[in-house]
This record gives sequence, C-alpha cells and structure tokens, in this order.
Amino acid sequence: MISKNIFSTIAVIGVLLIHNSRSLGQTVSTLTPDVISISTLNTESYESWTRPATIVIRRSGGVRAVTIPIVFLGTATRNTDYTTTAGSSVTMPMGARELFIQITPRLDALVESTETIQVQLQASTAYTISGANTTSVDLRDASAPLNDEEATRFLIQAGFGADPDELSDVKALGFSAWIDAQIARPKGYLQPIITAKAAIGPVYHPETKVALWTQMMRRRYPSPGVTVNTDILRQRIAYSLLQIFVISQNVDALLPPEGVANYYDRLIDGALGNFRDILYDVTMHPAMGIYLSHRGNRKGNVALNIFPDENYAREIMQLFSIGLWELNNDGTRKLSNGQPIPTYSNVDITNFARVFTGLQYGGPNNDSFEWAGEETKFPMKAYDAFHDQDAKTLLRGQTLAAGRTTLQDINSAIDNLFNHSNTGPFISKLLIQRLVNSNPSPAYVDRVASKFNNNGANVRGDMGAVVKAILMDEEARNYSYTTGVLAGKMREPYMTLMNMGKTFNAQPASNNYESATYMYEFYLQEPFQSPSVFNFYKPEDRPFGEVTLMDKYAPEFKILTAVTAIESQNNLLNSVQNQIARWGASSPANEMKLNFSAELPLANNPDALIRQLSVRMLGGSLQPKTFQIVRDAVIKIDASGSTWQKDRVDMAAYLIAASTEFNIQK
Amino acid sequence: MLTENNNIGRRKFIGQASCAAVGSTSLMSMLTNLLFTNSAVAQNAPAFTDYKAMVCLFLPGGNDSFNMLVPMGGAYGDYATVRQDLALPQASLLPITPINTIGKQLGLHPGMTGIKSLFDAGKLSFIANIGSLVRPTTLIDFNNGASLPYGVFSHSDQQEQWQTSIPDVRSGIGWAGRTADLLVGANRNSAVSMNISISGNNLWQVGNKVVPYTVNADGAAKLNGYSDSWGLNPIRKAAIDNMLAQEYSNVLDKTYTRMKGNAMDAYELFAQATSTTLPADTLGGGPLGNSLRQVAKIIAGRNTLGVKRQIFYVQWGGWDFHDNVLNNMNTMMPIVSDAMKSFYDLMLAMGVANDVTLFSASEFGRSLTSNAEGSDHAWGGNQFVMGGAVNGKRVFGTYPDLFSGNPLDTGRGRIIPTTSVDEHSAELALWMGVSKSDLPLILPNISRFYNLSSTVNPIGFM
Repeated sequence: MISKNIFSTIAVIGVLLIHNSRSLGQTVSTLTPDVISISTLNTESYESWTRPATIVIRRSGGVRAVTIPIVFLGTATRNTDYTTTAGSSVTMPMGARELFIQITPRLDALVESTETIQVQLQASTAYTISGANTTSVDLRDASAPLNDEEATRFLIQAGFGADPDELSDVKALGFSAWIDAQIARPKGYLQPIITAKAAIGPVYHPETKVALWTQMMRRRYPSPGVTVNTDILRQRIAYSLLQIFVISQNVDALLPPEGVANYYDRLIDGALGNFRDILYDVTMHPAMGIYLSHRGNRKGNVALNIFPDENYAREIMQLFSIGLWELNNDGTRKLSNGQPIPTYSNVDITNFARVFTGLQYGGPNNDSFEWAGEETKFPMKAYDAFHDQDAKTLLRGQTLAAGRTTLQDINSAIDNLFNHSNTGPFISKLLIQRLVNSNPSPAYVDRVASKFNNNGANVRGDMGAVVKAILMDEEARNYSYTTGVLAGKMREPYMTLMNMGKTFNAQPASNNYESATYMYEFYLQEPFQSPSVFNFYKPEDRPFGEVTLMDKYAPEFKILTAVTAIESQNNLLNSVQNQIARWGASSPANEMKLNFSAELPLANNPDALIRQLSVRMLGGSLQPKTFQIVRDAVIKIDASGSTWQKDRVDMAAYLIAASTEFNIQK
Repeated sequence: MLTENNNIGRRKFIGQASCAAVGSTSLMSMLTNLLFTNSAVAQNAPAFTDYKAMVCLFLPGGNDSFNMLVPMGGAYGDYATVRQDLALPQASLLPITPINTIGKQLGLHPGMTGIKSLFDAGKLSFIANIGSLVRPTTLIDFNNGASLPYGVFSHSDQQEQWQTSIPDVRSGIGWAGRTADLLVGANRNSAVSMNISISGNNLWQVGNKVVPYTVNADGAAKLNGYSDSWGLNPIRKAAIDNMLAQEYSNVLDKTYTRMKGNAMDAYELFAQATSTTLPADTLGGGPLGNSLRQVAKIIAGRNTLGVKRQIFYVQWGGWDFHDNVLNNMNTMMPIVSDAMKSFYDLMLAMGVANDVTLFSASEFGRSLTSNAEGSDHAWGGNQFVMGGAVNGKRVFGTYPDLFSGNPLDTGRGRIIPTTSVDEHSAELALWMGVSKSDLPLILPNISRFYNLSSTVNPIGFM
C-alpha cells in the first residue's frame, strides 16, 4: 500500500467550463430541468501504471450550480486501493456541462484479483438521471498481465506503433522477455526488397524509402505461410541509428538504391549487436564513402603539400561517436575553469583524415584504386599504396607507428573512438532522445551509458543491453515520469503516420506498398531524405519559447513549421478518410487503408469509441478535456444515413491524431 | 466578449485579444502567443520605414554558366578551343556593352533576349566567376589543398555552401536565415515569417530562430476539412479550435499547441494578404513564372502582412547536364530570361521595382572541357542580379581567361572562383539593412574577403 510516487496520492476534481460559445445557446430557458448522466473515460485502472481514471458526470438542460450526491461502491477499498478527493457529493458549477472525478490507483504489495471501483449517482430533486446511475472502473493488480495501455505506449517507443500482432506478443511476454525475444529474432534485411525490384527493372532512388516503409509496415504474416519482419525492435533501432549515421538521397540521387539498402542493413546488423561493428561497417561502407567523401581519399603528397580530405574524419568524431565536448558519464559536459573542454582539435582531424585514406570501391570486380567502378553493395577495399603510412597520433595521445596497413590504422582509429569515455553517454543520450524523451535526466543517461560501458559481462558497446536499459528504465516506464513539465518528446512527424498505419493495419491487399512515397513535403522527414548529415534535427535543437528559456531541448520541433503543422494534419485526414498515400495508389489493391473494423461497431457509443481509440493510438493518455471535445464532435454527427458510423469513427480518429496528446508522446 | 452563436475565427479572436477585449488570463496567453509568433523579437530591432525584398533564384544542379555569359571577339578563340563541341557559335551570341571596363568582349546565350533587354536598360548586371571560397585561393593553394571548401565539386556540399556562405564548416544554418534572425524585429507584428520559400525547405532560409514559411506557386498550406461551411467541416473546425485553445502545463504540449495555432493564424493572414489581383496575372517562363507570380502576390500583400523586409527562395529546373547540355540550355535559358523580364515588369507596374532585388545562384559552374555533349561538376560560375536598385549594365568581378592550363584552371577547365559567395552575400545583406558591424554575425568569414572599414561595398552591384 505504499504509494509508488508522489503524484499518485493527489486526485483532482477537474471541472470543464464552457469551452465554446455555442453552448450558451442552451441557457435560454431556465425552466428546463437538469438532466445528468454518468460515464467513465477509462474502463480500467492499473497499479502498475498509476494514471488516474476519470469519471465524468455530464449535464444537459440547466446552467445553475447543482450539487450531486455520489457514493463509491465496488470491491476496491477507498484510500487503500485507490484515492480520490471527491467527497460524498460533487458540484457542477454554474454554466458547466460536465465535471470530472479522478480516481488514482495505489500500488500495494498484495497480490489481488481485479477489483472494481463504482461511482453511483444519488437521486435529487435538482435533476433527473439519464441512463444508468452507476459507472464502473476495473482496478487491475500489479500482478495482472500487462495491459493494453502500457503495451501500446511501449510499442510506440520500441516499435512503429501498436500493431496488433506485436501487441499480443508484448502482453504475453512482458517487456523484458519481449526485448530478449526480439534480440534473438532473425534479422529482417532491406536490401532483398530492392534487389527483388532490381531483378524486374531499373530501380530509382525513391524506391529506397518505399522499401523501408514496406520493411517497417509489413505485417508478420502478409499472406498465408509467409513470415517477415519479426524483429520490430531491431528495425526501430536501425531506423533511429539512420538518424545518427546519416546518409541521404535528398539533394541528388548519387547514392544508388541497392547500396543505400545495403548500408541500412549494416545498421540492422549493429542495432542490437555491438556498437564497434556499427562504427566499422559505416566507415567501410561505400554509401558513406560517397556521402562524406572518404571514398577515393588518398594520402597527401609531401612534395606538393597536398592533404587528405577531412570530411569523414570530422563527422565520425562530431556526429558518430564522441561529439564536440568532453562528457561525464551522465552526458553532462565536463568543465575546466568553468569552460567546456573540446574533444578534439584540428590537428586531431588531420591525423584522422590521414587514417581514412586508401579506401575505394570494393566488390569482386574492382582491384584498382584509380579505376574502380562504382560498387556500393560491398564494403570498400583498402589500397595500402594510397594510404598514408606515416606515423599518426590519435585522441588522448595514442600513437600509430609508421608502416601500418590501411585496415590496421582504421581499426585502431575506430577502437580509439569506440573506447573513448564520451561514446557511451553520447550515443546513449541520442538514442534515448529518439525513443523516449527529449530531456532525459543525467541519472538516466548515466544508467544507460554504464550499460554501454559494460553490459554486465565485461562487454563494451553491447547495443542489445543499451536498448534494454533505455526501454526498461524507470524514466521510460513509470507513470510519474510522464507528468512533469518537461516530460516526453514530440512524436516524430513521419512516425505519426507510421504509427497510424501499423496500429490500424494499413496493409494493401496486394502487399505492395509502392505508393508510400513523397512524404517529405508533409513532414520534412522521410528515411534517406535528410537535408544534410546533421539529420532532420539536431540533439540541441529547440523551439523558441519556454523550452529555450528553460535551457532544455526538443529536437523534433525543428521540423514543425507552418507547412508541416498543417500538411501533416491534412495527410492524417486523408489517411483516416481515404488511404495513406496522399496522391493515391496505382490500383485499389495497392491502397493502404486504415482498418477501423474494431471501431465501427462502437459508433453509437461515443465514450466507448473514443476510449478505444485513445488506448490504441496513444496508450490511453488522451486528456479528459480533449476527450470531451472529441465526443462533442462525434455526437453532432447524426446517427442516420448510410455513412454515419464511418463519419463518426473518422472524426474521432482524426481529431485524436490532431491532438497535442497524440503528437507529444509521453 | 464571446457571445451567443458567435462563430469567431481564430484570426479574429487574436485581433480582439490584442485590443484587450478578453479576460486577463487569456490576454496574457495571447500576448505570449504574439510574442512567440515571429520567433525572437530583438531588443534593439531595426525599425525600417521602407520595404525591401530579396529573391534568390536557385538553379540546382550546376548551371553551365560559361555558356550563359560567353567571351566574344579576341577571347572567343580560347573559349571555342576549350569547349569544343560545347562552344556556342559566336554569331549566335547576344553581344552586350557593359558600362564598366572588363577587358573582354562578352555576349549572352542566344535564348536570353529578355535578360539582355534588362541589362541594356540598366536593371541587371552579372557577377563573373563567383563561387564558394574559404579564403582567396590560388592554384598553388588549390594544389596544396589549403583551405578548400569541403566537398568541392560536389552537389550537396556546394549547394549547402552557397546557402550557408560558410564553406569550411557545416552549420545547418543559412545566411538568409541568419540575416532574418538579425532583422526579424522589422516585421515584429507579422504572424508570417520573414523568410518565405516557394520551393520547399532549403538551408539558405533556416536561421537559429527564424523558420521559413513555405508555400507553393498556388499559395500556402491550408488545413483541409476546416474552413468550409458544408458537411462535417464546421464540426471539425469547432473541435480543432477548442483543442488549440486548451491550456497545458507541460512545455512541450504548450509549445506544440501554440506552434500549430500559429501556423493556422499564419495561413489565414497569408491567404487574406495574398488575395489581391496583380497588374499582370500571367508571367512568362511557365512554372518558374508561376512561382514568381506567387512572390509578387506576397509582395503585393506586404502591408496586410505587416512586413518591411522579406526574403524569398525560388528554385527552378535541374541543371546537372553531364549530357546534352546545349539542347537543354537552349530550352531552359529562354524560360529563365522570359521569367526575369516579366517579373521585373510586374515589379515596375506594382511600384516596387527599386525595392525588390533578385539574384541567381547555382552550386557551381561546370567544367569547360567537354565529356562529349556534356560537362562535369566544377567550381566558379557566372550569376546575375536584377532590380531597380542594382547598378545595372555592368559585369562585376573578373571574367577569367578560359584557355586550358590558365592560372585558375584546376584541371579540365574547373575554374577557381575569383569572387566569393561571401562578398555577394554581404552586398545583399547590407542592402537589406544589416549593419556593416553585424556582417560577421551572418558571414563569419567575410573579413577574409572584405575590409569591414571600407567605405565601398564588397562588389558594388548594389
């Protein structure tokens, strides 16, 4: 019976005042008797997830303040199993149409079966009661199986949304075992999708983002007997790593689709593998070699005083491993005389630039540095004759003797960065920002970075351990961390659509996702479309206003512009009403339609409809006031004609997708 | 105050709020809203009384601009020799007679009759052999690899560099963005950003604080299913308005809600401001003309928008002709030329010809030598600048020798620029009202090219 957090003991009676002018139209006749009803915005409440359940009492008719006696019933015990500040009566203020009673579950050590909390309206001469006089919330014990709300929220962080197959897996296994099972699953590679297309005809660069959409969206059982992509966690981490190890086809199409897909598969390899392998594979990959120009980079010429290209040398340090400033293990900057300490100097860059010389296209048909043909599906080859073999000094004074081979030098340089004390906190914080929250506490970063440094079995860089530490941390899992003024992150704009598509199973009948393209203009985000190596947003980006004044961060806001704020919403409207591809699909079989078959039967029960959408779309975190606004809109659609069920479901799903609660994930 | 059945639009509501017609709590949040609307409002913001707009016409892919501004007479021989099958016949060129002395006789691509007439009328000038430079660079420097832009000859890098004007560091911030960061106070009451793109997101206009407002040739992004009065739209609109009016304690919630509301306000203001009828509704130059017509509509709405400074980005075409460069340029140069002529004429008719300056940009010039019908990525190129405020009928910078192996030739006729993008950017920024002492804030390398205590402009075209 010990309260899990300081917020759980505070129950609030929220009162929704008239929120638009139209309702004043109902005030004309003071003779109209008050009619009140009771309902609940949450049918379940959890010891493990102490979000308050909200009971709503609604009133139509009068506008006077009215006192409503209530009684708490049910098998759960007040102040033992739950708390509420509501007394033996609640007061509907003058002019209000609804009031909320919040019931906060209490975590206790007892193993109990599910209990019920009931609120019963008592009769009064001041009103008549419409419908049932009692509403009920189930209170589920901490020992109960994982619930839909927490599992959905988890899959928004760890996957691409609450896809029904995955949801049942998470609920069956629990978070920790699900992560372990994911790590053990076979890797779902991207390149085969492109290669299959290339076997049929030419493949152009937009195909890469279509292939990745396909990869992320494909259901586990696209057709009988076929199983694909069971490693949803690995896919999500690779997708997040692509926002760190950026390559892009945005400006021009110089990166060929198969090579880009092959590069992505190296991120798939490393996502739950080891970080050192990611650094090495990225360095050796020709797609990166093209993008940051170390392919064909040759040793300097002493006589002519020519120096190697420094592009990759700079970015592997600044963006891919250690960052610009010396960090403590908790991600905060080390200071010297009050000043941050740079991690490297220009001299270091020139040394690393000399390391990354002598790489050229590899593959079976290339054996010349000077005349290598473009080959992006194989790692680059080392040509020692073009490698700077003079002695070099890496970071923290590590020296490389003269005469070493290209690969010896590259391996040493990668070890030098991999073993740098910055790399753990730097990469951990970036991944936390992608998956969980924009402003992780230093303690959270410290806990995750420690797993990076040592997974418990003396292995450094174990990404599976890092990812598990991120997702299982109390800051990612406990309700109390969702209620602070800085909690959460903006859901990635592209991910809003992905989440909707996964949750509502927008699988085309043909299983061909070809029309999933040209989304960049709506979201300023789409895989392989970053405007530069700096990704769509930088970790230190933040919008002007409170976030900046508080010296905190909110990277995704960088791409919330006057265009994307509106076009992304337009795209969601189109997705809900029609299908995901804004400009249509080439055939009906290729349409990606959201499947609302579980919602349509609820069209005549707005509370049930909105409750279900809230759980499926955002883990039940729709605020009571927003719930009411959506409900007002739904009930204004008359239950008549041939499309009212669809109209109501569409309205509710669209408005929830447009809500702040959906877009700021917590 | 809100009254019965009063279906007040968001825009009007804010209009009332600024007249203190709502309760104090709402007023506070509205003031906050307005304060944040235009990003930062500088404390000592410049107060301009005049209006000025700068338009960037970006020609992505690398315009082969030594076939746009071409040597004639005594210099034609070198040109013809180095370009071989890419050389335009001398007789086809449109000769120009600049006011200033440039040491070479020059002509224009035959498709540029409109631009020639603007040049002759003193409303357009060229800048010769301009490109991204880290510092003034010689062939020896180049061979030494000293202080070169990263990724020289690469599309993505050199586009970035034209747009950031910082070719030695990746910044993710454009010089028009930094300019707007500095000047934003001039538009302090506008809900629409100083920087407006007709052609999508671009680095050039992104500032530390200023976010570009992006529209297309037909106007701004409109929220669908919201403002129309039929069907379910009014229901949807009421719900969205109510959701945006909610107050949150979490600052991400708060910021998201405010920014989305601002986007809708900006749309309403923008749509209203750009609904005016122009003196000419059709501009030459097809889709490019359509984009410039949208620029003109926004300029026509400048008073409604409440702006004194605007920066526009228009991008057109793909100029990366590794093949078939002559035919492609024969098609595309007349489109650019016609669009320029009709846009200038429209500015004249609108009475803002002296207030609007348009300049061309492209990430690099192309190799002078041919790869058989095409040319490859290079470095220095030629650009033009147009407007009533331009010192017209001139060629600025130094038109280079083109013979193979000349002192600027890095090989294959890839010419080292002799005028930097920094100087070009500085000249435009000064015209827009950035003070000379503030130039290093937007162009951190400018003092490598220009003495900030100089009494003349860096290039002289403005």
